[in-house]
Amino acid sequence: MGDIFLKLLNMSITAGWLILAVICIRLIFKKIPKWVICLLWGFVAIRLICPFSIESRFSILPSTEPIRSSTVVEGEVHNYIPSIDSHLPIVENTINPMLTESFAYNESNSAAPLQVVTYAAGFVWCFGMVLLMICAMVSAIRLYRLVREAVCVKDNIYICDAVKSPFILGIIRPRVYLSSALNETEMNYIVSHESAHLKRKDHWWKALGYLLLCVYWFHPLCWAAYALLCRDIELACDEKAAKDMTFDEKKEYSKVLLSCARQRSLIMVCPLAFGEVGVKERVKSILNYKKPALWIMIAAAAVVGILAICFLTDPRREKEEGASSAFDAADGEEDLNVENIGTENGSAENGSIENGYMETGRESPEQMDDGQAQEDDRIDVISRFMDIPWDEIESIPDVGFYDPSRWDKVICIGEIPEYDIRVYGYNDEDISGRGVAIDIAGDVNYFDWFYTTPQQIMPNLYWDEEERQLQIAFHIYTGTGASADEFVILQQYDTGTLVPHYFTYNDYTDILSKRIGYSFDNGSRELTLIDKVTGREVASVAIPEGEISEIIGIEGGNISYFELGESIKLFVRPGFFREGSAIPEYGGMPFLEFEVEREWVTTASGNTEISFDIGELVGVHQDGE
Amino acid sequence: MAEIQLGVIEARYADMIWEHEPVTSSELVKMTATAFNWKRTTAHNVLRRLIDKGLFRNDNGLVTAVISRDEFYSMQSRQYVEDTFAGSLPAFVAAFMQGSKITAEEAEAIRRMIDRAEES
Repeated sequence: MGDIFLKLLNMSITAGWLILAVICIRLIFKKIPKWVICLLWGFVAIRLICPFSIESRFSILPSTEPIRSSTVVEGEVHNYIPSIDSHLPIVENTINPMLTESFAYNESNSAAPLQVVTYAAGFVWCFGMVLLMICAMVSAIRLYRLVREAVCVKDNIYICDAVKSPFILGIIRPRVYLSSALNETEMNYIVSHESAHLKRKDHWWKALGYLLLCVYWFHPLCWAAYALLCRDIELACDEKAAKDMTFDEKKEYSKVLLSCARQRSLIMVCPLAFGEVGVKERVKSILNYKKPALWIMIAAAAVVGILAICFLTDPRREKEEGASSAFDAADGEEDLNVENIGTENGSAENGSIENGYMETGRESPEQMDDGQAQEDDRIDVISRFMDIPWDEIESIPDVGFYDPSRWDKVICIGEIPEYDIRVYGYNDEDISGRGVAIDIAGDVNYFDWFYTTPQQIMPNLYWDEEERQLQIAFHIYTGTGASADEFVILQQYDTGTLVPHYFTYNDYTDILSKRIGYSFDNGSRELTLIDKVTGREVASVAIPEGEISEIIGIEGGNISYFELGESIKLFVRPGFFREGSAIPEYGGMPFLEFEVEREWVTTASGNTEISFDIGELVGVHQDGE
Repeated sequence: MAEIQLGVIEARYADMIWEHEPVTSSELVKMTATAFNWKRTTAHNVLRRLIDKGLFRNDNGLVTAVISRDEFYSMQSRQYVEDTFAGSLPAFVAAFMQGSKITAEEAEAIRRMIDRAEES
């Protein structure tokens, strides 16, 4: 019940935009023939009936799901926490966080607050809908009672003493009921008007409109739409009749309208029968009616076309949503780290992890330049991982180590028993060394990360109990001239979700390149490393002779590792390049020990995240340290 | 007697009863079924209304008139003159004639009516 109501609520909001547009068009383009406007109301009906539509770039609608039953926080999908999808920054930054907070729930609760709210709302909606339907039935029954005494005049036209204002009753076999006190002229005009209604099948459209109103009664614009629809139906019929009338005939017709006019309360007297609505407006339109000029018809066609394209189509789902929608599972959290890596260091969307692999020359079937294939793989890992029953995973006893014959689908790649933390890695015939599941005291998060290389060096873990942060250094850059970590801090929230913050290989090598300078004395063959921030010389290395003497550059980062803890350290061994060589050499170079600085910052898009930097140089360690 | 209003269809029904009275109610049902396509209950309901208005009477299924058709319509006319011409018969007649001439026969009939009315 609650889910149906939520879906209807979203559909009504999107239809509401269309209703507003039609109302505006009605006001602005007064010369458009009313039957065209009725067609536009038909579009509204389509929007209210069809749960989906074709996607197009031209859709003006902000979203097909303005009220989401799940929120994306820092790239993680939380179900049952509502959010409003409006694409307005003010909503993203103020309202959605408030919703997240007020609807936050412990996974141990049996039902999230949002579930309860939507369930209750669903009941209220159902009640309202049934009430309205009963109203219609009661009105219909009353009218049928009334016309029991009617007498047939001709075909489906009846006269009745008790009928004051003419109406049509019945959907399958509609009958026109007239007052018995009408004279012949009056009767002729009215019959022609009501017959026009029947020819246009208005009795069906009005009934459909009321049915939709029963379903969408909670949306005020729907009431406006129904009222205007009734008006427009009458006006369209008048236009159809007035088309072939002389001016005198039009006057007569108006007189008849007036004499039959009756005060009608808004809509509800009987929704299935209809009579005169808005007499003044109708008389004016009849007397002034002129056959519409060609340009008006062309303009009308254009308006209809534009409206259809803009409002009957759905907005394209954005790429980021596309990625997450593939992960939409009821349990388990998904990771959008692709997005994060891409934006943080500006590298290609595939992220630095893939680049690292290419440098090491590791061959793996999934490592193709075809972005699309990798996209599919990305999705595949997590779903494959989640297919494995959790008790199988929990029962893995030891932290595994590399032995191809011993690879099962999952190995344990790290643990901190004191805090009940275990980290698992996925591996099968197609996907190797990729796919991570982190279990912290029963809360499990899945990430699509590479966690190791052919050298099979397992990641380091550190859990900061006070900050509730898990630090992981994955040793995934290995190969010729490279042995480096990728570092991530995962912030744990009360819901058990882990949100990753990365200090990527590219990030810190960038910083290091601006940090470590050098000077080389060819005569003494001394290479001096300089800390560019303080300007101090930090180390001097004697460069052994080689074929080429000139040193043309140094770089830091390719050999580095993190030491985790309350204070995080980055150990870097710079390498130097001889002229003409692209391979860095490390002979005699010390390890520089840097402090890693981190702080919470708010980005331009309004998210809070951890920003990393390399701080003080706290140590220089020569060989053997 | 209070003003009695009859709708067009009611009037038709009443005329039917005056034409055929005394008549059984089941006969009336058959007649209205043919003429109006009414159900039995509808015929009874409208009859009930006419009886309540004082036009007819139903004794064990036999319907008879309480006042005759002429009586009824003359009552209506008198009521109309009362309402529209403040009860002034001359004014009504003047309006009825609207300045047109009456024939010799009509004048004679009216004179006889006046004599009769004056006497009683």
